[in-house]
Amino acid sequence: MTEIMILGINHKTAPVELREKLSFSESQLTRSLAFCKASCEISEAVILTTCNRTEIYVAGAGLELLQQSIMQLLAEIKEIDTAALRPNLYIHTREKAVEHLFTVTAGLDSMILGETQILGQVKDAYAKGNEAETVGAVFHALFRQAVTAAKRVQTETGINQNAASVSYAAVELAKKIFGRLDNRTVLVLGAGKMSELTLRHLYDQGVKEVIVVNRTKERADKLAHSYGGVAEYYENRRECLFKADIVISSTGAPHFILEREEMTAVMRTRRGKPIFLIDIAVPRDIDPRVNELDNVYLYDIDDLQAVVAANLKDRECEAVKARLIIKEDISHFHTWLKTQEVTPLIAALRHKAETIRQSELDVSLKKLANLNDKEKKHVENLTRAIVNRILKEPVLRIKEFALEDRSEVFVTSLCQLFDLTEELNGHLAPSREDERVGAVAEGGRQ
Amino acid sequence: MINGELALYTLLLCFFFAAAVLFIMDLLGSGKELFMMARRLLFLGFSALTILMVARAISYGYFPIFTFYETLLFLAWAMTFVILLLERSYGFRTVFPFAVPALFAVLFLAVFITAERASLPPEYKSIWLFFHIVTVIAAYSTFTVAFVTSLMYLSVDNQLKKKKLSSLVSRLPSLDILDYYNYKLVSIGFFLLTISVFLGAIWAQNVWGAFWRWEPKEIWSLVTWIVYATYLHTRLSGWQGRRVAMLNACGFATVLFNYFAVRFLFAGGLHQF
Repeated sequence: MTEIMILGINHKTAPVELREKLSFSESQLTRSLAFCKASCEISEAVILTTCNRTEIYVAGAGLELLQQSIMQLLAEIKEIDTAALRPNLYIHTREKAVEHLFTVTAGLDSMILGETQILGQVKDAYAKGNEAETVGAVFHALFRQAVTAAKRVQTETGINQNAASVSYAAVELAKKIFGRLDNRTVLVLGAGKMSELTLRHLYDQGVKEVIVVNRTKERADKLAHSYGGVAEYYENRRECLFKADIVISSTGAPHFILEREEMTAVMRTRRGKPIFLIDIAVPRDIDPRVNELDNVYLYDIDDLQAVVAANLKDRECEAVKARLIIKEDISHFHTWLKTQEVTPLIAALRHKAETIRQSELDVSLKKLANLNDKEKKHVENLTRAIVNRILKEPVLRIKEFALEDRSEVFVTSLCQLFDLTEELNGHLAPSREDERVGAVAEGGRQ
Repeated sequence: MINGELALYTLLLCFFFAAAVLFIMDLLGSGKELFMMARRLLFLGFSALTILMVARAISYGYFPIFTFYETLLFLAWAMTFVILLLERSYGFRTVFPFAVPALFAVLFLAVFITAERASLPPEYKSIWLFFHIVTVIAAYSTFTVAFVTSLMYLSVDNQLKKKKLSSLVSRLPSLDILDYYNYKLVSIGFFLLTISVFLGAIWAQNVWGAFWRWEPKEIWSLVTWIVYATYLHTRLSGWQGRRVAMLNACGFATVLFNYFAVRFLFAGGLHQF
C-alpha cells in the first residue's frame, strides 16, 4: 500500500533564519530529487521550496522508512542537524498530508490568505519532479487534483479579489473612481519611501503623467526622473492640484499642507472633476474635512489600513467556501487512490478468468471444427459475455469495499479462492521494485 | 383586451419578476450560471412583450401606443431594449439588477390600468402624432435607465466617501464609467425629447391650428426639457460627478411627475396620456 508523507517548515513554524537554512537552491534541488530517485524507500517525491516554506512530499511503502529517508536526505544534501530542527518541522501523513498539499496549493496556508503565487510554485515543483522522474502515478493524480482544486477556489470564490496591502488598496480605490488609470495624472507631494511604493503600483497600471513636488527640488527631480515624470517647485503645488487626478501626500510637515478652504477653491477650478487624495503622512498632511467636499475622496493611512483589514476579513469568509471546494477535490483523489489499491487485484482476477476462458475456448473450438467463422465468433462472444457477467458484481464490490477501507479481506480471500498469488506476484505486480534495483545498481556503478 | 392577452401578460410578468430576482441574487452572491439564466428569462420576457404588442397592433389595426396601458408596455419594451443594448455593446451587466426591478414595477403598474382599445378619432391617425408618442416614450425610457445609472453612481460615491466599501459596491463599475453611461443616455434622451416636442407641435398645428397652447402637459414637458438642458449645459461646461448626478435625479423626478401625475391632476388637458 502506498503511503504519502510530507515533511516541511513554513513561516508559521520557523523564523526566516531557519527557513533560509532549509531552502533548496536549484542544484540542491536537482541533487535531492536524484537522491529520492535512487532511494529504495521513496517511490515518488516532489520538493516545494519558496521563501515562506520548504516542503518535501514523498510516497513509498512504509511511513517509518520514508521519514528516515527524508532525514537522511536533509543530512546529506543540506548538511544540517535534523534533530535540532525537529521542533520547527511538521510531518503529515496519509489523509493529512493530502489535505495539507491541497490547502497550500489553494493559498489557504499562505502568509497572505488566498494569494495565488503559490499555485505557480506548486506547479513548478511538480514539473521539476516530473523532469527528474520522481513523479509516479500517485503524485501525478495528487498534484493535478490539487492544482484543479486551487483553480476552482480562484474562480468560484472571491478569495483573491480584493487588495491585501495598503498600496494595493490605494490602487483598487483609484480604479473604483477612475476606471482605467492610463490617462490619469499622479501628483506626489513629498518624496518619501512609502509614497514611492504607492506610486510604483500606480505607475505599473500605466498612469499617463507623474508630477513630483518636494521641498528640496533635488529629491523631487530624482524620483520624477525614475518614473518619467516632472518635478515641480513646492510653491507651484496649487497649479499641480488643478491637473492631478490622484495625489499621494507624505511630507514631513507638522501641520496640514492642504486645508479645506484651499481645496474648495481648487475644486471650483477643477469644476468638480473627481480627485483621489491619498494621505499617508503621519502627522497628516491634508485636513480631513476635505473629504466632505463633492467629488473629493480622501483616504489617510488609517482608512487604507481599515480597507485592507476589511478585505482580509472578507478573505477569511471566502476561505470557508474554499475549504469546502477543497474537500470535494480531496475526496475525488482519495476515491482514486483507494480504487488504485485494488486495481492489481482486479487485474489479476480478470487475467485469471481470461486465461481460463481462452484455454477452454481453444479446446472446444478444436472439437467443433465444422463451425464456420461466424459461428466461431458467436461462441467466443458467448464465453466473453459469461465471464464478464460473472465478474461484474465482484469487481463492483471490490471497489466499494476499497472505498470503505475493507479491501484487505478481499485481497486475501480472493487470492486463496481463485489462487491468484501467481498473477499478483508475477507479471502484474508493480515492476517498480525491479526498476529501483536496477537504478540503484546503475547508481552504484557510476 | 385581445384574446389570450391576460395569459400572455401574466406569463411575461412572471418572466420579468424571476429575472429581477435572479439578477439581484447574482449581484449579492456569485455564480455565472445565475446571471445567464436571468438574462435568458429577461429575453423571454422581452419576446413575450413584443408578441403582445404585435398581437394588439394586428387585432386593433393601430400601433399600440395610444392608451396609458399601451404606453406603459412600450416604455417597458424600450427600457428592456436599452439595457440589453448596453450589455451587448458595453458589457454593462450590473445595470440589470437595478433596472429590471424598475421594469417589473412599470409592467406591474399596468395591471391596474384598463387594457381596452383606444377609440381614435380620424385626426389621430397621423404619422406626426405616432412619432411624437414613440419618441417621447423612448426618451422617457432612456431617462429612466440614465436615472438608474445615477443611482448607482451615487451609491458608489457614498460608500467611497464613507470609506466602507461593501462587496456589493465593489462589483459595480467605476464612477468614471457610470458617469459616462449617464451622460450618453441623457444626451440620447434629450435628443429624442426635443424631436418629440417638435413633432407634437407640428401635429397640433395641423389639427388645432396652434403649435403651443400652454396646457399642463406641455408646460411640464418644457420643465423636463429645461432641467435636462441644464444638466447637459453643466456637463458640457466641464462639471462632472455628484452634482451632475443629482441634476439627473431632478430631471427624472419631472419625468415621473409629467408621465404619471399630470394626467390625474389636470385630467382635462388635450393630452389623453
